[in-house]
Amino acid sequence: METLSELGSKIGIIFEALLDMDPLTEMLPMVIMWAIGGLLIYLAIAKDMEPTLLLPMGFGTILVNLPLAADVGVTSDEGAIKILFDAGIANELFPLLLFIGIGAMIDFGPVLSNPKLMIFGAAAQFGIFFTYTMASLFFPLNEAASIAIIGAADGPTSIIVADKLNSQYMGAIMVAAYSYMALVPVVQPPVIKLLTTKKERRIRMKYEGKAISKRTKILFPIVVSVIAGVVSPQSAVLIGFLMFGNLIRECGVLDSLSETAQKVLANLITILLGITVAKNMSADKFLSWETALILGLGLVAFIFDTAGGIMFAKFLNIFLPEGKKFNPMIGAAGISAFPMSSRVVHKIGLEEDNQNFLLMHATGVNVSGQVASVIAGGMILNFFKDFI
Amino acid sequence: MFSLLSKALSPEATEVASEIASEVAKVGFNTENVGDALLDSAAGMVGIFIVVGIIILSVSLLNKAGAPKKKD
Repeated sequence: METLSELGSKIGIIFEALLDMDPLTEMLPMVIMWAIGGLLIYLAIAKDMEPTLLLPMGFGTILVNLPLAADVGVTSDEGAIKILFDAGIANELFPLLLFIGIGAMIDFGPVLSNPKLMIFGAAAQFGIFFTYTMASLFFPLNEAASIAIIGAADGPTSIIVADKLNSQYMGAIMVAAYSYMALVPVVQPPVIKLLTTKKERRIRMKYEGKAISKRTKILFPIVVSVIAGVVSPQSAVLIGFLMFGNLIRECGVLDSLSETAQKVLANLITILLGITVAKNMSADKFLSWETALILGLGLVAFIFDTAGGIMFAKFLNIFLPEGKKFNPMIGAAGISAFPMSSRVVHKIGLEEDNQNFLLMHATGVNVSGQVASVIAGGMILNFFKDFI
Repeated sequence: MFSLLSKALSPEATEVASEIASEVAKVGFNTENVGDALLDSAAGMVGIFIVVGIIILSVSLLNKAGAPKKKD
């Protein structure tokens, strides 16, 4: 009998963590977070939504919400995710390394052959600043800025800005940023159709694919880094690493490094980034009213980015003669979600007129958006240089 | 959030209701910062157009410099 009670108490010790948990305040939030992690994994696998990031984030969400994760588990002081977070996110190393890979993947040819398209990349950052103002109605300014940068449609920029501004909502910001990026084909078409007429969507644009000299392609990343660094010092690191990757690609003598940056480096960092960002997905941080508000504001940012690009193109068209007008839809591609946004514009163009090929123009605007969104991140950080 | 919900099931529900209200108020409407945010936003948009404008100018110059020279 005594042995039985001893066995019982030993089993009790084994399951102590579970038995000590309050069903409503501790167990329920934990289970809800497992379900959210499961949902992210489902969306990644079944719906092919940004699987490279949503899958690690989903699995990480489950890991960081296991019982006692913060005391003896992955997010404790000796826990693997805490160590990775301190080594790669808290000091912004992972997003910057990822930028080298992204820079090596981007071909700036379409925008170099028609540089004026870059102006739409700038216009399409409107959603970031509109959302910043909106978010300031509910959050302190550093949090409002971290939330607004979801509109950059660029994961590494969002991580760096949120981290530098010491945001406590990084988990929600990441989920919103990557989910909406994956939802660009769902979010953008209704906004485009709402803001343009059938006639405008049918505007054809001539594409004159000029040959770009190798010297221009090599000088472009250097010149952009210098300009961004001089005019907006806080964006120098972000732009610098992006352009360093692009220089490796374009220089012509580092093909194997370029390939490594595009594939191995980008893949390795992506694996670690997703699971590490999940550190901020613990129930106490994620299950709040603020998260719902952040998801809503993220959507506002994407919608107003799209609207900003389109309305700017429509504004320019007022001053342009027939035959030189822009198809306002290409403004929507100024959001930096590459290449989905340009594909969305191209597809809608073909739906309206099966001979209207907008892909190259939209791609030019899309890669411009990539640069402009990083500059926008730098601008936001400039506002808070005393805070940082 | 969940600690409040758990208390909501207890008899001190009215006390809890006011606690929930204060929790919601934490993310409530506040116009204190909106002036600064509007100013920052305007400056940010102007700043982006300036930086992008300089980049467009530089790329145009690079293209001109790199263009093959026409034969007379």
